[in-house]
Amino acid sequence: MTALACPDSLVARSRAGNLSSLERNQLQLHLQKCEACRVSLLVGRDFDAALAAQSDDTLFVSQVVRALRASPGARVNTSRLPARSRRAARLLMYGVAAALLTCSFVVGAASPLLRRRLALFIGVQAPQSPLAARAASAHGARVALLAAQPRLAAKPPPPAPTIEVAEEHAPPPQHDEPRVTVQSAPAANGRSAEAIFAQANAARRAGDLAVATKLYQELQGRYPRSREAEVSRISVGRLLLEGSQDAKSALEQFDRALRAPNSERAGLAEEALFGRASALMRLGHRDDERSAWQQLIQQYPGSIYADRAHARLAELGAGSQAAVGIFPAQQ
Amino acid sequence: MALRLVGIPRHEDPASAVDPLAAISRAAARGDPQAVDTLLLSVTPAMLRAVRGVLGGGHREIEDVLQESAIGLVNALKTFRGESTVLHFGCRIAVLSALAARRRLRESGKEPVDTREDLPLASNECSPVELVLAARRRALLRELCDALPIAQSEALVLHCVLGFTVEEIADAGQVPPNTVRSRLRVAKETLRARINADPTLREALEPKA
Repeated sequence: MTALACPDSLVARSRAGNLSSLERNQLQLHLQKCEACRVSLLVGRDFDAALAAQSDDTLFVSQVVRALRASPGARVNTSRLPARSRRAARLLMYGVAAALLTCSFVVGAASPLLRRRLALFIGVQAPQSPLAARAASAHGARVALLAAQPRLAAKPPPPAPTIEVAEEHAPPPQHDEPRVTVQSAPAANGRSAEAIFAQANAARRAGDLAVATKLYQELQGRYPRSREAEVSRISVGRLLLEGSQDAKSALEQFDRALRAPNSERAGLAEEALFGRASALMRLGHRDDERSAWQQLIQQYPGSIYADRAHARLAELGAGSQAAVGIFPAQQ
Repeated sequence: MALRLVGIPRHEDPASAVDPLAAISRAAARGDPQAVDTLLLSVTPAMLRAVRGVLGGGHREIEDVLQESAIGLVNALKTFRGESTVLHFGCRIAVLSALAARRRLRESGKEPVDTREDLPLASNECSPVELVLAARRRALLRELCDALPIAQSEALVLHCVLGFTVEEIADAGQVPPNTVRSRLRVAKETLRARINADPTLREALEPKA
């Protein structure tokens, strides 16, 4: 049986029930003789059964999409001009710079009267006395030259400044507090928030939890207001609960995530509330834990964590010490 | 009944082959945030299925890999020229991301790659034994994907796991159909050999009258 003779497309379409009776007969005849295609069809049907849609898929997908809205990596970059436009803009800039340079030479060589008039045109006040006028005309020429120089240099605008403020222990989350999320600028050693975030994620996926935690904390220390830092708080909180079992530090992470201005829109608040409740459970703060579960259910009645929240509230009410959290302690 | 991916490949019906997501993907490529949202909500369920197929239903990396795949899709939209449907394009990205994640985990050696799948409940159609055998076959295919060259793994997953036809695999990967057939032949032969090596699994391969 050669490769070209195996009707792979018929095998695929048969799983979807898209064969005519003639095609079905053709496939059956082939399957009687070709074990590889029988395997392919059998295993394919195994996956069809296992990969049927699950009841919480819609919620799961919408959570992923919400998280992506806040992710800097998901933005399509449309700010760069097409090549032809960039070339035209560059030529125009050179032309303007050359014209200004020529004008400045003309001004420098021109008569004092002309220089005074040009200085006034540019916006420099000309003094009245001849001595002052001489000084002003020289000054005016200098101003004209200085005005031309920045254009000649034609440097790009400096990056937006990063305002790094040491975050102190803040009051409980208040979602109507106006805050400014500042774009992250590269640090002196060139590592941007995005780069650190990507490194931390890679370390976490590779199982280097200690390295991942350190990188996330570095990100939060250097770019505390960046979007990457906001998103990372959930990950750090989980790592602290699961790995080092530092529930107190984990609680701080979840509280900070809840204080982030876009936490609701980014889908982080639900995760943070659950993490907060789990951390309080570990710390044994039963009253605060009860309030946290109630807040989760109230704000997200359809949450995937709602059942666990109800179960834990029932246990707290009955005085049970059983643990329900989704973040089991690693052995 | 297998879930069939939406979208008519161009070669089947060139006159009226319309990808329902084509206009949305063009708007998303231009940076329209609403179009990006709509596109992701439309394509991510199929990508989720692809990631689950490669990693296994209960794998802890599913969410991360799905996010990575979705970001990869959004970033790749500018270079997408409609050679396949957007759905197939996205699924291919998800398969490649999941295969890469499997290899990365295996190379790091820090986490078991194959997690225990939750078996569906036995029904009148499938006995518990059949369900267990089916789970073993799925696990075997996943293990095989770690050993095969990436191009063969990709073709095997797209065909066996997601039910892509040869033409759909060729369109999504922008390779000739005969190249896909060759890759599939080798991958299927290797899968057949592995299943045959297990006496319990081999029984199910006997042709039914």
